[in-house]
Amino acid sequence: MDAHPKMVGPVVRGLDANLADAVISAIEVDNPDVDVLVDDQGGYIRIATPTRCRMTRASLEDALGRTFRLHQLEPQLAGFAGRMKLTDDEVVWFLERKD
Amino acid sequence: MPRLARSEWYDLTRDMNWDLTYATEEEVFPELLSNGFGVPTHDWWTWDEPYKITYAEYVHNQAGKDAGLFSVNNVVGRSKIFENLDPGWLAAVTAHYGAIAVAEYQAGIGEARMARFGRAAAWRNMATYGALDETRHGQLQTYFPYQALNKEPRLDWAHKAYHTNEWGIIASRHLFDDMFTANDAVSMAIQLTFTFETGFTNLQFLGMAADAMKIGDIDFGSLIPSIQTDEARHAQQGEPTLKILVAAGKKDIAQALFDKMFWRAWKVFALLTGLSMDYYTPLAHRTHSFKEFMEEFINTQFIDQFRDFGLEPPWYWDRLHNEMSWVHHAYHLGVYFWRPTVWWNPVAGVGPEERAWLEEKYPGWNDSFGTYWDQMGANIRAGHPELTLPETFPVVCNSCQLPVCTPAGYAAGYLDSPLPLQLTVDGRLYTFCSEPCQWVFEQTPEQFAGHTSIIDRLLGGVIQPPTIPGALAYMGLSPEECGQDGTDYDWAHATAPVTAGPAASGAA
Repeated sequence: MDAHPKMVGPVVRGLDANLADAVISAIEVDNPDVDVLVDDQGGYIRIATPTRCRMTRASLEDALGRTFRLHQLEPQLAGFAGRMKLTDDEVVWFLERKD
Repeated sequence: MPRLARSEWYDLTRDMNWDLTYATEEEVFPELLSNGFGVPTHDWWTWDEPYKITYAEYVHNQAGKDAGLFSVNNVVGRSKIFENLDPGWLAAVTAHYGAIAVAEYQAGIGEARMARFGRAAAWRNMATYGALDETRHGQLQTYFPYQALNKEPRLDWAHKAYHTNEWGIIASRHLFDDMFTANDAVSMAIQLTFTFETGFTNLQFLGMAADAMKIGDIDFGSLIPSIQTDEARHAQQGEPTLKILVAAGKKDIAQALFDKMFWRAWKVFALLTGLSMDYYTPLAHRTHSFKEFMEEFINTQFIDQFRDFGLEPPWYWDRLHNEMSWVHHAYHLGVYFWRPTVWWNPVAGVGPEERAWLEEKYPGWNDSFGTYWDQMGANIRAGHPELTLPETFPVVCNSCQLPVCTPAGYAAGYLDSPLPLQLTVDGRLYTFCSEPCQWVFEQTPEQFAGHTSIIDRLLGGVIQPPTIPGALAYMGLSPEECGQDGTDYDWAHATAPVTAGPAASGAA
């Protein structure tokens, strides 16, 4: 295998621009030490960070300016890179294997 | 009264496993419907979905998805958007609906099987959502094209296709029966939800969505990513199943299940998505080439995820990369040449600017695949379009059921030999397009022994008369439905031959 950086994170639909922007902002806040990749393809927007990408409910609510439960992401979540763990307070996309 | 956090009650509501006392394990989970691969019962009970959702949340989300979708659909229905679609895009959409709509409905059978025969209650809960999801996808993708029947009668194939013996549908049915209609619940979690849905459906459903929005087909561009949001959730049945198999020392079984279905999925997506992205989508609106999409979504995103469980890329990785450069170009030549045998109107997609794009994305295209198009263009300009139409049939592979394109791969410099692979089992000669296809067959030859390819049927006297018109009738294609050049040969008059090429003798 080539040694490409393993990027993980959500692929959101572009239809709900407010939510897409809030997801990007929240991920930037919750992953402060890394560059967040945002690849807007119109029909979908890929948001990714290397190896681990965290998004908390608190940051997302701050960015949206309203309450939001994380399961409500689903109608805009068209896919994701990496594995995903969803709890009440945060969603984490991650990969563990080092090589 | 304080409201409990979901995590405090979630497990209780979805995890009702119990020990069997008055029935045996085999009676409740027959191997044919749920192959446990020897993993102990209580190990299965550790099955834990990474993507958690309650039934109330599910219903709320799904209602919202449909409300959004139908508000777009209502607006589009009163507009002129459909009438103004580019002929190439119309080909891509018409091919999509025929190949996908009823297959989604059938995937609901697979999900329902996991909802009953999945080996943990949590899994059966997720699969219940999956069965509802796939029913939704089947209904949406027959309803949307149904609305446009008065504008394009070929959209009838959204419902009709899987009730025919059209060759592409024989190939799709062969794949999907193996993957879900006739698969057991455990293998299906690896092969349908993990390999196919986590991996390949992104190509068609996200890749085409990006193109659709640029083209202005907001109906299709809203529909397919909405479907993909369901897939992203229920595809997560694969991961916990895979983890349990690996933890129980069954990594080899998981790898073999994956390797088989990954290759099978590749072949059908090369045909469907490969043609749509690299030839049918109008050039100005293409986002990536099919090969670039494969690199992004499959060879990087999906394989990273797969390797995270300790598994490895399939043994035929080199052959996959090899085919990514040429096989869908060969399929496109074949589909165009045999266009009466498909339910959509293929466009050639090889005008001068498109050829420059193809040469940039696939260096060497002009001097290899381009030469066939030179010859077909010359025949059309000389007033002989009949020379660009078939009088005979190609050999098809007894595994993927798609035309054997090894001569085109050899002529383009990608293969060492133009010959297909052949194997005799119990006195019957089988032909394969590639080593992985032969390997797929050899995993379970008894499973495939009863199936005849469309060419076996032609040579065996099933198709009468054994002529092109006889075969078209057998495939359910009336003369009005047979595919025609989607642009009435505009491409041939827009282009100038780059080099003199070989006769278009059907080598594809």
